[in-house]
Amino acid sequence: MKKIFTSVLMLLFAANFALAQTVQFADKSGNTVSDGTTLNVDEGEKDAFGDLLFKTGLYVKVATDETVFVGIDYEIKSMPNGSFRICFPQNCVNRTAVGQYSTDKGSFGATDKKDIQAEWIPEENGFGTCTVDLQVNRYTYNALTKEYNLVESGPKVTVNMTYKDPASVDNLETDQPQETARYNTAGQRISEGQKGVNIVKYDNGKTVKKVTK
Amino acid sequence: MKKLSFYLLAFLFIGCSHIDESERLIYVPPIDVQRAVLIEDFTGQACVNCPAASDVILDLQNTFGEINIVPVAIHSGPFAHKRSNMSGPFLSDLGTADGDEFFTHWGIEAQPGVKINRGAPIYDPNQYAAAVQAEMQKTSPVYFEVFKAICDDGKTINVVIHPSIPTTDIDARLQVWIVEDGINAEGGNSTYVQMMGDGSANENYVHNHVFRASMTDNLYGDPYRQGAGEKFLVEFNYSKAVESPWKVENLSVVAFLWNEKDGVLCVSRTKVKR
Repeated sequence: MKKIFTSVLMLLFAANFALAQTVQFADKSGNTVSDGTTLNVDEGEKDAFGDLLFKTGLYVKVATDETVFVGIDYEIKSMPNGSFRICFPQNCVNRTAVGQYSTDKGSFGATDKKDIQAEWIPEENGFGTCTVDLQVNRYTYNALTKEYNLVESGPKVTVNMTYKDPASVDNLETDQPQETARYNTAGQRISEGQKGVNIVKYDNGKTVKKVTK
Repeated sequence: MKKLSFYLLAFLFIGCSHIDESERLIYVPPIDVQRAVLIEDFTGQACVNCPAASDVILDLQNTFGEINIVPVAIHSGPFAHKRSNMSGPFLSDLGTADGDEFFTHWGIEAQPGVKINRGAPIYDPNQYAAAVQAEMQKTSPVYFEVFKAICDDGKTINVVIHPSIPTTDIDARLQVWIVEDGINAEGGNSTYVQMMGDGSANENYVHNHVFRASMTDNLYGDPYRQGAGEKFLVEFNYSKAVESPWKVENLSVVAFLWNEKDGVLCVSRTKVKR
């Protein structure tokens, strides 16, 4: 008898745990993006209309056989310019100011995986970083009152979308190898060039003999 | 005891079978259609969720007939594009300044968003049908006795409207719009690409009932006042030059009477004849 009740309790616990995992963020491949993750996006892409977009790359999926109602709360924490767009679950909204927002709620089937189409569209040469927190939640819908009730707060992730200034010193890349060490012909290390033959080592692994006059 | 355990476990595992929303049979009671309904659909080519809403509107037309459902796709707001502000490979001019004015005036917050007979904006396509049915069952105090749109020279559209004798006093505004069907890729460097729900760009998307221009002097309509039972002797006449790249054979005219109190009183659509 004890065994049976223990089994029943374990089943109830397992069922409860499964419910707690119902709504999730995922990447394009369907891999779960866990709670507390920070994503850094610094590669933009142009859409069909020529707008430069920095996409969060987030999808929503549900881990249940039932149809559930899902919505996203999001906070635009910083946005130097442009707008942040999100198209979930059945509408598209364009935000031009920092603040806390919520999407509408929509029904979601067991096998659904939906791109939330959340992206920052900076102005031309509007370099900087847009930071957004997003949390996906599960709701129930009361058809009589036509109200949604929150039943599960799902994972929360942070996305930093950075539009880098190509002219910035931080972004300068050089093809020139950098000197890492210099020696005289006796093999002694020297701190600066000396007259005569200098043996110079570079960070690309090459060693070159240089004549300093 | 074994029986008790069996029933306990059975209780835990047996539940009601779940039927997905999309698979449920929803009984739509037959309704007595009293009047046509205007659906102002605030949409945009960059709005990935808008094609799904257009499909819902198409379903309503198939259910209740094109004569009873008069949709107008107003490309507007942040998800619409105008040729003048685009730099990408796909150029289009579905967005209009008038459309943006309507979008702002009506306080549209998300796209797709629709106004059904000028009611409050609706953002959930699942709610369109109920709002349409409610509006259809109301009676209209007036209708258009004469409504003709002709473009016999291929250059100018001429519209004649004559309202019926109203059953109640009317204090409204008459709006007259040109809409175009069948807009799609036209070759060269100009296409009418539509972003789709899966994030893809559909270059072959066909845009229907697209708002092109307003024909009235006032953007929100010309005043129309008439007493109950009073015959209106004057016809309303409007003219508008055909603009590039409109195709006359695909143009129609939508006319409606509306006011702030009652919303749209009557709406009708007629094809432009050559």
